[in-house]
Amino acid sequence: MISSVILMLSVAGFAVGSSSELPAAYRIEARLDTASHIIYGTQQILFKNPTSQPLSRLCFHLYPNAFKDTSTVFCQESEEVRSDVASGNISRLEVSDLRLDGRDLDPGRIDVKGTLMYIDLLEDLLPGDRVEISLQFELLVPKVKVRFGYDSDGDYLLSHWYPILCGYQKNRLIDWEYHANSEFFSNFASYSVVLELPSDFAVGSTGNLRLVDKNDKVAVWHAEDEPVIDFAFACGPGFEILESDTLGIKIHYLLKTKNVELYNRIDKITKYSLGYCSERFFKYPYRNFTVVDFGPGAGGLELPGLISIAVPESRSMRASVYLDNTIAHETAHQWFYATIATNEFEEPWLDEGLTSYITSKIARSFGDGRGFIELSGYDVSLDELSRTFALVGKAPYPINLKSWEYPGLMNYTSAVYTRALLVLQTLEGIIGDSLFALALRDFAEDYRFGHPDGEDFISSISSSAGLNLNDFFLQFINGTARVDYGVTSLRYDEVPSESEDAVAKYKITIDVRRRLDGIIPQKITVGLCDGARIDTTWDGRSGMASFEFVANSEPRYACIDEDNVFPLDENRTNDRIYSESHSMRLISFEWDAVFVLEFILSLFL
Amino acid sequence: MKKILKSKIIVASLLFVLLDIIGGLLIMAPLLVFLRIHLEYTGSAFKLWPVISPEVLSDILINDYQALVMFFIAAAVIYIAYFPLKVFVTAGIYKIIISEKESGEEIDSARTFFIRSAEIWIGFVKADIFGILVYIVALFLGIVFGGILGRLGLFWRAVTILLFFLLGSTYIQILKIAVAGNKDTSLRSIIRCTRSRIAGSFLRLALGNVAVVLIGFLIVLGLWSLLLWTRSYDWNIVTASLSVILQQGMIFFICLAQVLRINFNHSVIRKGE
Repeated sequence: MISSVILMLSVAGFAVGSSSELPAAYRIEARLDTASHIIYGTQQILFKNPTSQPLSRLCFHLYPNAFKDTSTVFCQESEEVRSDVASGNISRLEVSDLRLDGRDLDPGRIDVKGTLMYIDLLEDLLPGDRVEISLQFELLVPKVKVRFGYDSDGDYLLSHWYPILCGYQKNRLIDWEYHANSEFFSNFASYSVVLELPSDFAVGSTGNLRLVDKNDKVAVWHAEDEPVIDFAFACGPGFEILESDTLGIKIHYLLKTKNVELYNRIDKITKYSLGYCSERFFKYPYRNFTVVDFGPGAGGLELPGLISIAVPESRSMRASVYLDNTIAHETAHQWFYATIATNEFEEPWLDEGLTSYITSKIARSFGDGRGFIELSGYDVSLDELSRTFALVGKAPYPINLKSWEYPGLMNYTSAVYTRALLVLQTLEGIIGDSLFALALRDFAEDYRFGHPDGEDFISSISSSAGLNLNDFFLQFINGTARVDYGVTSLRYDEVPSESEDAVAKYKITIDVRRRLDGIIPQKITVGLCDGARIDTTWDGRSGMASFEFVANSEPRYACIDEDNVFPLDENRTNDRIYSESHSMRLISFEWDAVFVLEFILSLFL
Repeated sequence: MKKILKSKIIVASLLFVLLDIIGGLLIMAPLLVFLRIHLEYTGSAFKLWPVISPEVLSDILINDYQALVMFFIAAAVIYIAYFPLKVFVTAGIYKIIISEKESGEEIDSARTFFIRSAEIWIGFVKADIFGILVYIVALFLGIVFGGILGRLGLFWRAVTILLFFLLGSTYIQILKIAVAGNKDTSLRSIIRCTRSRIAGSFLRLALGNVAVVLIGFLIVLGLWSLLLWTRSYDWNIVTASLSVILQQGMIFFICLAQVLRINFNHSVIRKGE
């Protein structure tokens, strides 16, 4: 069936190389056998050398081979995955019939190393020149694990499921193994994909998807789009498809039947997130956006034009907040990953940090203005949780390490997601909200459909803000500087007036201290008993400093970073001190603490 | 007022409240001193009402986790030191509750209180230590049976676990009553002599204790609602004082419920003699 459809599609322009400017054009035909969970595919790629040097070899990612056996880098780094693979849940991507420009390739020219496959070209490929690669592949799909697989409902999520060319960034081949903490990097390409799937399957994918043909047993779908950095799809009998649209974007939801009741909530936050990012950076550049409810194992995943989410079993407020947060985060990745395609292998903080920052922004502004991070009862905001998680570890690793250089998932997450979020929020505090928003927009527009790295980000933000931020970036992106500024004392003396009817004057002295190595310029404020305020600034460089003021009223408090715009500051308790004791408030709280213990003791009499 | 204070139920409840306040203050002392030094002049003092804010908790966790660890160690040490006092006074209070005029063992002064306590307190120590095992078994049974009832919802799972805890607590109280009544401090003989009486009156004991706890729970829930209402207002000396009174009121009613349970259990066990 598929061949006749392809013939039809070929007539309609389904051919490799439809877009000449992109480094690659993929044409994939794939058939899913649900009995054996195997995808049989053929693939043609028209590759154009995007570098300024001749290339003698090409490299492909074979991501599924990370789960081929327990000896892979991924399995060695993840005990959980290792034991899963050891129990027999493996995947395998095998490539055969490799041809270059129609010529068979000598097997000696193919070198497979872990999840990478190198091909020695028959002759050097000059900059801008093209080569056509054709191959066949066979993918054994595992039970859902790390971003792909099939679940107990027989639904499939296929990401990074075919041989993908390794990308180039600034003339450099990015050919890293697939690590337990790493995600992906590839260049923009055009895709034309034909999928032969069971006819009762609901389908969602990257790009513009349409049903081409269908009989009782199988349905053939065709998807195409450009420029995108990858192609992913989800399919299965357990999904219900719901559709919506916003800003001219068609949104497709593939929801599990039991979660359809959450459609309104999911739709609301998805539209809000798309709108938020479109307004602040640039309009979402594709016509379609697909949200797949896939559950644990592959939920919370960004792919071009498609995100997967894990709808929690619980219907509690907290679970809904988690869901909102995931959707906002993965949707933000459509900008920072899918269209501003940074290198997730080497600089994961760039996309995860920026999307965490955007998630926090969306969280604060979504819905009724309270944001979805506020929970009823004891409100703990997402920002507060992130801050605690990031700072409790005392910044042992810089945020710009390569993803696998962090020992363990906790260190990776703490640095790349949460500490990077604090760094960006603190940077916003230094530059100012509106200027930082403009700087981010400039960066996004300048690197739309590009592959910027950390240096590009730093120079772009510095240039847009008109500030030299090297010091900041050296400390907090390349380094592990920690911040704690505090007010150590507030004293005042009455200055005797020369005339009797003159208003009494007070000499106020405050001492401030930098307790850790991180340096951030600070604003110091003294609040007076008559309601007036005195502000001054401190470059924050010295370990200690004293400031003296003269005022007509006694001081009530002195504080540093009054607006709390530097969340990297590890201790906010010492940011503000009062001239008077709050003993009664403390006594009141102490009784609360005693009450808790009394309560417990009284239960065991 | 004098009449009320002559009621052994009220006196015993007030003594339990006093014992809990002393325990609470002693065990919390290191944390309270630490918080006072840290927060008294800071802006964080404004973030303790109506409950300690996540920001303050987060800052303590980030910057003072070693102090927190030390607090838990200190609290454990203080509890161990406080435990003999607690047991000693508890023994005296049990004696107040179960002693009758006819027995000639009525407690009418501090002196007799301490004399009676000294006679039996070691039996209470054994009962309390044995209580750890009883509560572990109760938790285990609660989880197992709660898992079955849990299909009806999380609420019923929690109720099942609490019910087994209540049964465990009732058993410990009965052991202590037997120690206080018989002046027998041997745990083994106390377990033996109470076995048949508990078996004979199990349903009555269970229903009576559940009824007392339910009534106590409703009263405490009412006070809790009042406490929440108080806390919905900004902090001031009136709301703060009212809050402390309501909290201690809750503790009093919990202690009163405990005393009523002890009294009830005593009367049931005595009838079975």
